[in-house]
Amino acid sequence: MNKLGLKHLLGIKNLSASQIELIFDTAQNFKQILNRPVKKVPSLKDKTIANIFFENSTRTKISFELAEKRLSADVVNFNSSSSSVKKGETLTDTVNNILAMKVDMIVMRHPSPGAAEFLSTQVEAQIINAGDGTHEHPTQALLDAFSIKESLSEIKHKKIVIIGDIMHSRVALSNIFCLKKLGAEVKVCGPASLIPKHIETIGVSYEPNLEKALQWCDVANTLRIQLERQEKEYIASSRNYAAQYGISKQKLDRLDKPIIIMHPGPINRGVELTGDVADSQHAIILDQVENGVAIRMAVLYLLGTN
Amino acid sequence: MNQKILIRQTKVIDPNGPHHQQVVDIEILNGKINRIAKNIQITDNQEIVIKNAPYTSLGWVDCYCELREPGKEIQEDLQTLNEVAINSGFTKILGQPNTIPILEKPSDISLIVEKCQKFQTQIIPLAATSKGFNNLSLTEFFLNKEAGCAGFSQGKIPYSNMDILVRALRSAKSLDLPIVSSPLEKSLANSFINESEKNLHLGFKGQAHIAETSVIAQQIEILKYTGGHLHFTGISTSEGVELIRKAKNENINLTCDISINNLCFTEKDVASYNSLYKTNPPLRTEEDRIALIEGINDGTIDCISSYHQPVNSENKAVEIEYAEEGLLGLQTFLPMYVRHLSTHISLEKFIEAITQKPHKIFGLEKSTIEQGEKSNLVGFDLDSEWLYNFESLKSKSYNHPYFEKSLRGEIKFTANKAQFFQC
Repeated sequence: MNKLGLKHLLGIKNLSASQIELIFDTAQNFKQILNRPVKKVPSLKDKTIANIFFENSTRTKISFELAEKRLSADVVNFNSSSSSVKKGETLTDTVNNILAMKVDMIVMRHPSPGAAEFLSTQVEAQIINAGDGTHEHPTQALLDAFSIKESLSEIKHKKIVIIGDIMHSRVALSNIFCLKKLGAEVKVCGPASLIPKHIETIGVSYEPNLEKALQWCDVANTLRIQLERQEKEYIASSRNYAAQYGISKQKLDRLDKPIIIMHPGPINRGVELTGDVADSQHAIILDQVENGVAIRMAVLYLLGTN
Repeated sequence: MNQKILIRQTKVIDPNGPHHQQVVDIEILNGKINRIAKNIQITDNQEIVIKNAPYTSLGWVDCYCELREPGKEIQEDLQTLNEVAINSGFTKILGQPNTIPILEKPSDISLIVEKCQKFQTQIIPLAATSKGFNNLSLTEFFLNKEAGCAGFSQGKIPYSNMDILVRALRSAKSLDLPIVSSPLEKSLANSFINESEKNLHLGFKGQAHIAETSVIAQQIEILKYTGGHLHFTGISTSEGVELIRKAKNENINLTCDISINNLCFTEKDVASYNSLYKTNPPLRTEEDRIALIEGINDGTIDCISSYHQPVNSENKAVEIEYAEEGLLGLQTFLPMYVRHLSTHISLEKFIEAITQKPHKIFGLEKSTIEQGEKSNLVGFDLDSEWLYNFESLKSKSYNHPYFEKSLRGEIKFTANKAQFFQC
């Protein structure tokens, strides 16, 4: 078995706190390597990894690809904006065709919740979930928590509010699972129509008032309004959302302490965050992106080596 | 069936009949019950003697079964459905009209009736309530009844406006036939998974109970206004059972059935994204399951249906979101009772929910287990085990989580329409 003791990374819910800490420690080492002139290590030089993306992605795909290349893996990419089913070929057949070309690991993004878990029951290869519909996005949650830890030294007892479209967000769910496992207190904030009804059953509370939420927290993780995953209009307009739930410098100035601002990207500037907030020293948005490569290197390394 | 058939030492489960709970021998001759006695001597070597059926009841009736012929014969056809039914204890199947094309014209109904004439199982179609399930124009109710339909339904398609239901109930009233309704508010039914903390963990939106209960409440009010007979199919929520319980105290003709899947499985079964548990109505909570059991026991819920929905493996072995909903229900019906329900629902109640009650609701020819009556019987053993695999499978599809498993509870014979089948 590999160093993580898991065959796949399907979701945060399958990880223990100690496994998460192991990923963080490993990522810390890789982050140091990434800041050297020679950023490459030979750890996965005998592995071939296929990045299979059934949904559009820019940063996650680039981040995984860079992580794989810096571990010296051979990398192939398969992109399709529609699911394999709609094209007439099943997901299992698509992946088995790729595996027939002697691929060891699959990094998959898919629009349907549970697709990564389903695939793990159908094929032999190791699966890394790079986002399955509105379900989980484990590497995003890991890099978010890693970035919080980097900024605040620890996560235990820290107060984190996740703001925005919780209902349509895989980032929210994975973040909640990850932060709770690491001992943080978590609230969600956003329009009630975008909050799942039973959200409190997973150990988080709902704060409808943004200013109260900001006053309470150490970290505000703002989510992108996922207009592409909403089948109907849950928000009346971007300006209505921005006025009620957008974070502006004025709102931050009214707080009695500075807080850390996060966003998984891509930002709708002027909607979730105003430009001055996104570019301020309290925002760690680009640190999140940088840490993303280190976290993904850590996950690939721990899953891919003995 | 000129042979004499002797069923040896079987306990009769026939709550309205004179031999209920008696252990007797039953002699069948020419499609009729010739004799019932404590001990009948074997007089003829040509007789078929059944010694392995500890229980005998009237043939079972299924209130909700999806026909796949015409249109989806790759999943099931009428011939294989008959084979499945006679091996499952069912002698009457009410076939939903959601075939391709939809059963909406008298000629559609006649075609099914004629095609099934030779079968041992009576496959009785329901006709579409509205043309093409468009919820605008009623089908030809009178002519469809003449052609042999037992009621009007739209499968799992709900009545999207109340005007069509008002007209349907009033029209069917004069024909003494029920209107079957799947209670679901489409605008709230955005998921095949129950709304609870479970759906959050799975990353799917949940289907709230109000998607069902809001429609039940509304349609009960309509029934009070129109009169007639409304039959809800596929009740899945505890609140839904409670609404029906209260409404049944009023002077209205309201009946309902539930899927055996909702009586036996819960939302926990969907937790591994196994598409075999993708059902409509969705599998709900354990509390809902208990409420459904109570509903059967106190008579609020009239019938238990198989919800037999054959799906070919290609349409199931995909991501759960894209998988076709439904699972087989007939051949596993008795084993599901034995495994999940026998300690909660008495055999008598169970049999009542699949014999007397559906006969009455759909106006079907009824008999009792009595000398001189037609032999519409099923014999079964609650303890004997069998392997549900490709060898024993009678359906064209095998979309059931218990496929390739050993099951307890076996049908031993079915008798109907002067035909006898020893399983």
